[in-house]
Amino acid sequence: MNEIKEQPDPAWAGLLAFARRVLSGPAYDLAPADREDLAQEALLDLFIRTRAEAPRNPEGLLRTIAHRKALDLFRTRKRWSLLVDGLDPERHDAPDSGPRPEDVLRLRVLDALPAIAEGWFRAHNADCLPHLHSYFLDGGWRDLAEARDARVNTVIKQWERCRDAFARDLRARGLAWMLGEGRRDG
Amino acid sequence: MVEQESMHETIRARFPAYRIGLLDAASTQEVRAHLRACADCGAAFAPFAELSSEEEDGRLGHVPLALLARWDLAAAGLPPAERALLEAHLSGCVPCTEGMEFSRRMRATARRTRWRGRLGLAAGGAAALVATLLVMMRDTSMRREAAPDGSPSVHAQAPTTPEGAVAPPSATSRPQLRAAIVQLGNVTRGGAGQIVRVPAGTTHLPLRVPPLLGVGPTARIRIDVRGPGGAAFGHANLDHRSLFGETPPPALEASAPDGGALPAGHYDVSAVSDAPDPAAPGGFEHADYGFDLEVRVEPATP
Repeated sequence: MNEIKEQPDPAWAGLLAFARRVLSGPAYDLAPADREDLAQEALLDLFIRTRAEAPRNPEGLLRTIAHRKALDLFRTRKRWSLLVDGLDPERHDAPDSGPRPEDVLRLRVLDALPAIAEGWFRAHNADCLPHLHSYFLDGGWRDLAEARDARVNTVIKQWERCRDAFARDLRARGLAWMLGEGRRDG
Repeated sequence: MVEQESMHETIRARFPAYRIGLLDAASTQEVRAHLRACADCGAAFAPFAELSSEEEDGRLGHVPLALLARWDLAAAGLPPAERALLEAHLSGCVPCTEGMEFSRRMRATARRTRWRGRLGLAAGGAAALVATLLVMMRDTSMRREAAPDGSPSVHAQAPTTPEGAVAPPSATSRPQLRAAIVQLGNVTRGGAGQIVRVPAGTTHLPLRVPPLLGVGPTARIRIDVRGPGGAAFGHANLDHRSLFGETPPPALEASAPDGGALPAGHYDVSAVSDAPDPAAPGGFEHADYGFDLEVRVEPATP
């Protein structure tokens, strides 16, 4: 277990301040809490990219990432209004007060479904991991079929069995809402 | 009618799982058939069909950064079953775990900084209050000295010159909006300026500039494509109408003058703010635009 540094690199603190400044621009019109969250998120994105390859111009890259994060936020809100607000009868006639924290969390969990599936297959059926990676990351079955010396249809059928097992387990855990069945508790 | 409403709700609730292909075959068919038949639900699905920036970047299958960046706060609000599933992913994912620790550290720094800021403000406020009181006491004593009868007197105060005014930034330099270097497969996305690797056999380099948010009427940006050795391979000027999406941007494409293959190597695609600054004749307007330029490298087919 690596020991966590108490003090982060001052350069990161400077970049965080830069991200806040970028997101303070009039084009974004963000609430302070959203701005801070997006700045932290953009910085994390930059950190993960930096692990793969050091950027030549971190500030420029961070500006772009921050902009894209802001667009993601607007997109998430749009989805929220369609999914949560539109499905809750109590809120049909209510004034638009923005997403509640529990709604935001619910959508974050839904966005994490591929990660949840990855963790589940790793723990319960590692044979399904190549299918999951092929499905989510590579976007095609042909390479996987060739690697396994199997027909494409066979590989697809295997994935369907993997997916159904995952869905069954979600239902058994009382998480059928993730599949659009029933309401979420909590 | 109620049944129909219920059907729309059922279908829409399935959108998140449907969009990533985690519904079983029967449910998938139901959603597909409904989307074909129902225009309202089709329109409601449109925002779900768009990819997030992380999905575009190939991070699908990892915990979204929005959740990872505030994991401690989010985890506390999650029901145990949901938290356990997410922790199952985190326990085996090194990039996610490292990212989570990094964010935890940065948030702690932000909290410390805010507290320092508040303490600083409080200390500053107290000092200012003491200084004000001292000045008021001194003024009162001086006025009392000036007025023999001890009655308060009113002094007209001459306007002061702001000696410590901050000079405006020099506007004579030409600000370059250079930025990101992101190579994702054959598509490079990023900020105001990018370095694009062009393989041998590439004949043209199409560029796409999506609408920019919040551009003002004076905004004007020039896109330059420079190849190995700084040789120019194309440029385009974008005004605020095309930047804002009111008019289609001009077709942008870098190509070799003789129509043959572009020299292989690194190409610099940079966006330069080119709008004259009305406040500084001869200078250029400085603008911080989040730029989302897309450059597609398409090797020629043999």
